[in-house]
Amino acid sequence: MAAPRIVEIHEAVQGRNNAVAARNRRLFAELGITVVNVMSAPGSGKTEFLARTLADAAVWGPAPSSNSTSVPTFIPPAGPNLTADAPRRLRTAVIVGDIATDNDAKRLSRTGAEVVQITTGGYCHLDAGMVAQAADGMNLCGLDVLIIENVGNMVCPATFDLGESVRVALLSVTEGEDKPLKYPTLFQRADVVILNKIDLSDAVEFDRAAAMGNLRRVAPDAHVFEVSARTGRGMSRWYDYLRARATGDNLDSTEDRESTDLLVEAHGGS
Amino acid sequence: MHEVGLMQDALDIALEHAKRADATRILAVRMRVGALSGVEPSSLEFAFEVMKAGTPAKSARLEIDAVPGREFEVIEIEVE
Repeated sequence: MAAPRIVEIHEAVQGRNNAVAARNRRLFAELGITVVNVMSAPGSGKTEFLARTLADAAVWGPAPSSNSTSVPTFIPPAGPNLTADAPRRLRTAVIVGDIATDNDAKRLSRTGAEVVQITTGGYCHLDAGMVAQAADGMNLCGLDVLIIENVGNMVCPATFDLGESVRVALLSVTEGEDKPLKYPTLFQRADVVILNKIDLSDAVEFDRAAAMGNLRRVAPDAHVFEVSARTGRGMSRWYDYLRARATGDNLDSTEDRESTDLLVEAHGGS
Repeated sequence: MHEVGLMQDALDIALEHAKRADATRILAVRMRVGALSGVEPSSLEFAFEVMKAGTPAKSARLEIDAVPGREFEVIEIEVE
């Protein structure tokens, strides 16, 4: 019998998923599509948040002389088809991942956006291959924003790159102030953190300062938006961010997250 | 709970390399698991015990090198 010997491997286990994710990212960049991967626990209000986003964020403007409010307003650069006073439009579509049922897809379809349901059949997360397959059946031409509603789960989706350009972690005030410490991976890797259901803050005696402190310990650089998807409070800043990301990505079709972030900052981010 | 799928991928990587090296048996699989990888070592061990049955790795031990960072990789295998 041969003597024991060592075979060196040094291969990343997720290398295969990452290769597909890189292919997705290239395709989406070539088409000028901003892809947003939205992750949260079940019941955080992802679907309500996305339904309102799809309904309200898609059309805005006309831009000139609307110098509103104290919140930072990103002025997206005009695309080739836009005149100064025409409403600006984002074409949006959604991929929805659930373990079972197409209830969320039905709910989101009512907004008029194209919605594709992935039913994972027990799998706890979406992977890059599932997204590639779903995108293959969609009309991607002219699309500005593709939102991916991941399976409701704070653990597994965090570790699978789908080829997205923006990672969003959503958290609601009803979940407790220490959620970011309990599920650090999701928040550490998030570009954006949405704090949802702020209309219920008083009812659940939400300690905002403690929650923000915990969040900043694991995600010091994430853009944070405090919203109520139900009442609409706080949503406009998120729309501004999303529009700036989408129009910025359309300008140069860049894959470079850093430069896009800088563009957002330059237009008045926090 | 995604460790089952990940362990399957890791085991496939190990088995492929063992075959390529003309090995008949895998004695050990060494992996590096980062604290930020989102992978839970104990779940990985459980999945390994279940999945190695019936493969050339059926009597292999899993050795996990826990590190900081996001790495999650198969470092090497010991074979004969």
